[in-house]
Amino acid sequence: MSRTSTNRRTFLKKTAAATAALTLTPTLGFPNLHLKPYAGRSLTIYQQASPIFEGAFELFQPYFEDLTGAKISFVSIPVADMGQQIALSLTADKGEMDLTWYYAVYPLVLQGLVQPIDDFIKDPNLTPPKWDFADYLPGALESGRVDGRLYNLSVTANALAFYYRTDKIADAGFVDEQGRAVPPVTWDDVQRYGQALDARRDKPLLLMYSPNGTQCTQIWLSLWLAQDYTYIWDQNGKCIVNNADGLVVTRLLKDLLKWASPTNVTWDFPEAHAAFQQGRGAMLPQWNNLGGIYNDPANSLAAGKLSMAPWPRIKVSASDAGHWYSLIAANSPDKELAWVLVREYNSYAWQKKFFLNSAVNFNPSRKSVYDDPEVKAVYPWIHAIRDSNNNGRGQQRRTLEWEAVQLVLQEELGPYVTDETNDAQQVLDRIAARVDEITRASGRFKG
Amino acid sequence: MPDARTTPWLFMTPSIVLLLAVVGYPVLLGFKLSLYDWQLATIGQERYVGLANYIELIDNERLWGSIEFTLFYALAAVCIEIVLGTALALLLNQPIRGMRFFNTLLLAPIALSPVAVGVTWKFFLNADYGTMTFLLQEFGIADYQTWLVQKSAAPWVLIGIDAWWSLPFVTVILLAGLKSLPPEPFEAAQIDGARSWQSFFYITLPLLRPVYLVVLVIRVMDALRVHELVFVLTQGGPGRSTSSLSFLIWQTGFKLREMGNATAIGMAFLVFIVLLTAVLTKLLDRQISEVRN
Repeated sequence: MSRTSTNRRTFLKKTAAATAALTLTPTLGFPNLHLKPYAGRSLTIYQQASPIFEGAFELFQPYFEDLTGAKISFVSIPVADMGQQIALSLTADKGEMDLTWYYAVYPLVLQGLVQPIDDFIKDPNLTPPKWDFADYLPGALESGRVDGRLYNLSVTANALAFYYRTDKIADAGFVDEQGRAVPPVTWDDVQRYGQALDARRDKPLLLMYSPNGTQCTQIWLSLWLAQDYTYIWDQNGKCIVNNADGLVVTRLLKDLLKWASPTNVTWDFPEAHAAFQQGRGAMLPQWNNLGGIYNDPANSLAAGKLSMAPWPRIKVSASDAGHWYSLIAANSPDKELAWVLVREYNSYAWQKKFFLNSAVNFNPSRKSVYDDPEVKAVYPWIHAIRDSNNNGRGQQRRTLEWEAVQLVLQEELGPYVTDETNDAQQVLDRIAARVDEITRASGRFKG
Repeated sequence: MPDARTTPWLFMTPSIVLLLAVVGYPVLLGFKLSLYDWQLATIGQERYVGLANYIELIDNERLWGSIEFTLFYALAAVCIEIVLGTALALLLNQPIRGMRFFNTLLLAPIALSPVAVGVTWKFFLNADYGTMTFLLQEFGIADYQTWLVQKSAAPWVLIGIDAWWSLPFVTVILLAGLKSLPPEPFEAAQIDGARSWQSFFYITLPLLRPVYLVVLVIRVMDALRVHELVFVLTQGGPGRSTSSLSFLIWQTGFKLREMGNATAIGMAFLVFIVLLTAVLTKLLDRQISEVRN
């Protein structure tokens, strides 16, 4: 009996010692060997097929895989197909996607397809205090909140801003006392500059006006927002664009073409983007997350000769905001790991690294990055990014019917821009009638 | 032992089962979905609405515009392809030296995918640095062109590209038809002093009628389903001037997320295609039996 009990005690001692030795030896013997908390796990991420997003992951992937032991696989999808691919994965019993970066997230949030992240943030094991949530830009944070719960963090906080060529503007005589180029502050200024800079083959303005794309609509919308509106409808849901302010904006949209090459009516984002990189034009209304690319001598003839200003004013300097959000799939089996990725992605170190990388240039969502001296030295127009983001008004996107409304704007403004019709009032009346139909069907229209 | 009546069915069973699985089931499921109010992102919250989605189609402005464009597109593209295809087939049917080389060259576009065709033409037509702009400037015709954003021109550009892409297919089928024609009627006509155009209109065309119908059935079905060219080149614009039915179904389902409406449009489109195919097939049968007799 006692022999048996001695044997058992000896056995237990030896087993405990062996376990301790097996656990500690590799760590003591190889101090660089850390235990990876998510080893063997994997994440599938849907991302836009573009050098910007692909470049970001190229930077981030080795770091994250080393940190967690998990593997990441990326599915690059053309932006036009992203919505359907994301929705299909989110609504499947077992979707392929764990995480994505996307802009039209509001309908998905409302349907419960997106994982809220409040609990992850509250958990000190998953979000250490040094991550400092108070540093996050309030606007970017609020735009990710629906009904009091936080669903998304901004991957890049974007709004429309105004790029300009300092050399060409200075040559035209628009300079301050120190001889530095002065950007246009109002849309009247833009037209005044346009007139002064006008040349036949290289018109000063680069405009994204193709009626077959979406950017023309967003520029028109940003002109409308600069009239100090937040929505294109009133409190009752009635569309109000066919008022005097709307008429001014719509006519301005066409007037601006005087200072752009006529081929600009065929341009959407890629064409305008490429033209500025090719050194053409002097002024470009564009999303404010591209300064790094335009200032990279390897990719742009405008490098070293450009700056950015906030969206020119009509009454205010407000423009359309278009954040790209991180979105964790509610049907993902690895939500916690997905959060760890989002957390690291939004850390101070990575926000700064992404922003300073000219191929990626994601706008930071942390205040401290905007105040970083190194960042300020590389991007002297950092204040314009901050201001345009602060003034950005993207609230309209937080309606279920926004895609349908945007399509109406595209269908009705296109023929006006391409001179199929010249009656701005009629165009606006049609927009108002059709948008009212959409909002009436949604039950939001109380008129 | 299976008898003469059951044996064919026995052999056809695997195909029938396969067709039911890959065509029959999706069609039935599609019809069921078309009876529901269902947004893409609301699985599990579909609401049965009966025929409401179909009734809504009557007032759907986009749908009628798309039907108009799709029919115009199919008609214009197929007409151009048949006229030019006939001319090319007659040319290639001549005993000219080196024709085999041109035959091979002609087949090249068939190998291209519609997306590749769209992307290539988009570049070709680019108003700033496209080859078309270069040619227009080189020959002093115009400074640039913006056809893809002009309501009046964009549909014709798409039709032209479709014709360019499908012309080889039509030509090859018609050429095969020409080569299979019996020589006797032509020899008799020659002896009777018929001119070449008389031989063409009174002998070649009537004898080729079944071949034309085959081309018509295949090409009309294809042209009615046009999606990729529209998607790549115009996104249905400017306005709605190039929104084909297939593009509208995609737009309604995946952009506006109204899957119930999208499937209702899809089902209506399917019924139309099936009816059209039935009529064309009936015509084809009649032509074949006429030629045989």
